[in-house]
Parts: sequence; C-alpha cells; structure tokens
Amino acid sequence: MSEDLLPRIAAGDADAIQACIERYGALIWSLARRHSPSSGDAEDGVQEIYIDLWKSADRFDGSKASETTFVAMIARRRLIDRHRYRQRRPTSDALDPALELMSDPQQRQIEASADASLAARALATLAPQEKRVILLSTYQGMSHGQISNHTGIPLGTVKTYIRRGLQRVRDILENPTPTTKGVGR
Amino acid sequence: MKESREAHDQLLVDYATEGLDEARWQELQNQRRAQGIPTDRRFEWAAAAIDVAYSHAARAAEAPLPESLRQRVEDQASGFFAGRQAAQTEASKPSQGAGAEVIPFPESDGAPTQPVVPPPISKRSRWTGWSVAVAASLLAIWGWSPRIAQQLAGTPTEIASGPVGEPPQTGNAPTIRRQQLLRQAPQIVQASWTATEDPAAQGVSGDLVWSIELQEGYMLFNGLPVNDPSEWQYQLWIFDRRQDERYPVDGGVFDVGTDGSVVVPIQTQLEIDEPYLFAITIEKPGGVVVSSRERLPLVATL
Repeated sequence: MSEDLLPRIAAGDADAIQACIERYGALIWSLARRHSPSSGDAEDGVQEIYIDLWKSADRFDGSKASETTFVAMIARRRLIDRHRYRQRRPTSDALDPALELMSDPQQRQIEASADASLAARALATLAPQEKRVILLSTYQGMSHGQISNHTGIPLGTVKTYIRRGLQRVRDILENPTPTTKGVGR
Repeated sequence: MKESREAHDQLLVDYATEGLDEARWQELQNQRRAQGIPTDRRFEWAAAAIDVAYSHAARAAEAPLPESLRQRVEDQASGFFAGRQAAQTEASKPSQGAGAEVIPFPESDGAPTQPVVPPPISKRSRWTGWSVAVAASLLAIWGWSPRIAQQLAGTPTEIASGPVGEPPQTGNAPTIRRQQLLRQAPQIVQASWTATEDPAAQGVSGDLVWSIELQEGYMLFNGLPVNDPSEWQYQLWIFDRRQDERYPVDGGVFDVGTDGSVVVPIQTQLEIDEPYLFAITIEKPGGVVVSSRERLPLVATL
C-alpha cells in the first residue's frame, strides 16, 4: 500500500507535492474530463482542484478514509461547484458509452482505494436500474433531471434511487463487514 | 420525524451529486440550525468512492495529465506554497483563528465546505500587495487595534440573510442568531472594525463574529453610511491563513438601508477556517471579482 502523501504535504514536504501530482494526476484528469463540458474547462478544473487539495491536505485522516477517495471527494466538490457556477452541464451526448459495457469493479482488483472496493460491493447489491441511475449521477455527472429524461424514470424515483444507493454505500463504508475490515486503507 | 430526516438526507444527497441552488442551500442551512444537525459529508464520501471505483473499472483513470497541464499545476503549486509561506511569515501575530481546531474528514460536524457557486480561482480577486497597502494605511493613522469579545451597545437594526447581491430585508433573525452564536457556539472569533481614512468610515464602529465550526458569522456596524444600491454597494473580503492572500474570499455585497446599527450576515462562498483579516470595500452595484481597493473603509483583524 502506498504511503499517504497529504500528511507530508501538510507538513511542508516539497517532494510529496510532486509525488501527489504524479500519483493522482490521472484520476483527477479523468474526473475533470467526465464532469466538464470541454477539454479546456477540464484543464481549468484540474488546476483548481489541486489548489483545493493543497489547502485541504491537513484535513485528511488516513484512519477514516482512503487518500484516493479523499482526493476524489475534493475534486468532485470543485467540479460540481463549477457546474453550478456556469449553470450548464455536459449533455447526454457526452455520456461515456463504456458505462453500460464496462466490467464491474468487483471483477477488477481496485488497489487505489479500499473505499472504492467497498462502494463497488455495495452497488452490487442494488437492483440494476438503481445501480444504473447512481452511476449516471456519480460517474457520469448527470443532473437528476437529465437522468430522468435520459432513462424515462420519474424524477422523484431517480432521487429516491440515488438517495437509497448512497445511503447503502455510506453505511458499508462506515461499517465494513468482518470480511472487508481487513482491507487496508 | 422520519420525513424530516429523509428531506434532510435528500438535500445532502443533492448537494453531493449535483449541488444546490441558493434557495435550497439556505434550506439546508436552516434545517441544520433549527435542528442542531451537524454537517454530514458522508454522502460526498460515498459518491466519491463510487466514482473512483468505476473510474478504475472503466480504465478511465489511466491517461496521465497532459504535459502542459502538468507543468501548469506544478508551477501553480510552487507559487501557492511560496505564497503561503510568505503569508505565514507576514501574519506572525497570534490569533484565535490560528488555533482553530481542524475538523477531520469525514467527521460529521462543522459546516459544509462549499455553499453554491464559488467562483473559479482565476476569477477571484487578486490583491497583490494587499497587506502592505492596508497595513501602511492603518499603521500610519491608528495602528492595528483588534479587540476580542467586545460588548455591543444599543439595539441594532437587523438585516436578514439573503442571496448575495440582493438588498437585505428587515427582520430580527440576524441579531438573535448572532447572540446565539456568541452564547453557544464554540470556536467563535470576534474582532472590532478599524476605520481607515475613507469618508464612509468616519465615526463607524462595530464588530464581527464568526463561528469556525458552523461557518456562520455576522457583522455589526454602528454608523455605517446608508448606500444607494443602484450606485454602489459594500463588499466584504475575508482572508484565511489557509489560502493565498492574493485570493481573499468574496464575502458578498450588502447594503445599509438605515442609519444607526445594522447586523449583516456574512455570506461566504468558501470554507473559512483560519480567518485573520476581514475588509470592507465600496464597489459598483453587484460587487466585483477584482477589487481596485480604491475605497476601503473598514478592516477587522484577529
């Protein structure tokens, strides 16, 4: 398991800053591209995310969450707020066509984040339609209204699916079963 | 009770997945205050974990940063940490804010990190030389004069909370809430306003209170001149030790519609954990993202 970098950054370790850019660059770039309407916008988002990360480094507590998830959380917050700021979102044309086809995360070893592994296990317990709605929201970055239009599912049901799904994931993250407790963070 | 909890959870889920508009953000804040509910970031945590899981499953997170972007991030990081170090050296004066306890992730207390629409960093005010300008101005006349826990005299006119840029409304919530903060909230910082030579500052007094835990605060002004919102407005800027001083946080614009005392809610758009300086400028209607600092009537230091 890789050593956490954010505590070192918070302590002023310059080498850790470079390592952080290296380690999380691909993840942040992936998030920014998916949650941004254009490549240029994604690049601006990446720069803002890293600034947020530098500012938040001393908030990270490795005993409570994986560093990868923490980084993704910071990134998502920034990207969502940028969307809100512009009041526009990627259209359904921007959907990742691989969503419906890609393999289940459980089938691949997720070394980057124990939290992510637990989240995948939680999602695996949901009905396919619920799982799809949650992925359209969290992974594709679609608004709830867009998901309703895209899937034909009533907006209220979309919101319920997302709420229940995130509750499920949250509960599992907070209280991993004995078989998942051994997964290092 | 169950319905109330579900409604609160729905707000948190919406915040975690698509953000909230101003009205719903205020609704969330009001629920938290009314029911004493601490901030809950666990839905953001869950959404992030899902995003990471499927990013890896789709092999979406395998493409590295483009070289030019990576270089910009590195340059930006160098500037950020150099600026932070300089700011820490400059702001060597101890304060209550500097000792604020950091709220660990993902504890369920403290305030949400982001309200609704934080402007991109590139659009935030760049106040290079801010400290030098203000310090020189104040030291030449009055000197720094922070005062903590000042007792306030009189019964102020209240200005209700509203969306940034909208004229405040009369009501009693801000003053009551301000008093509640002073009585009950931990991690409170408080400082009095110091006037500059600006004409609008003459005879003005008052203070501000800020709860680091609740991310909520209020400004009290005694004698701040009434403004015509169609011509100009007051704008608050907040300096946080965690942030580059060139980019103060926009605390929102506000108006003063009556003589005497007013209480104005602070409308931050970013989390403020270690504030050390608050400044009021006079700007064009709607406020600005880059202040010229031509008129800077009041500052408060912690």
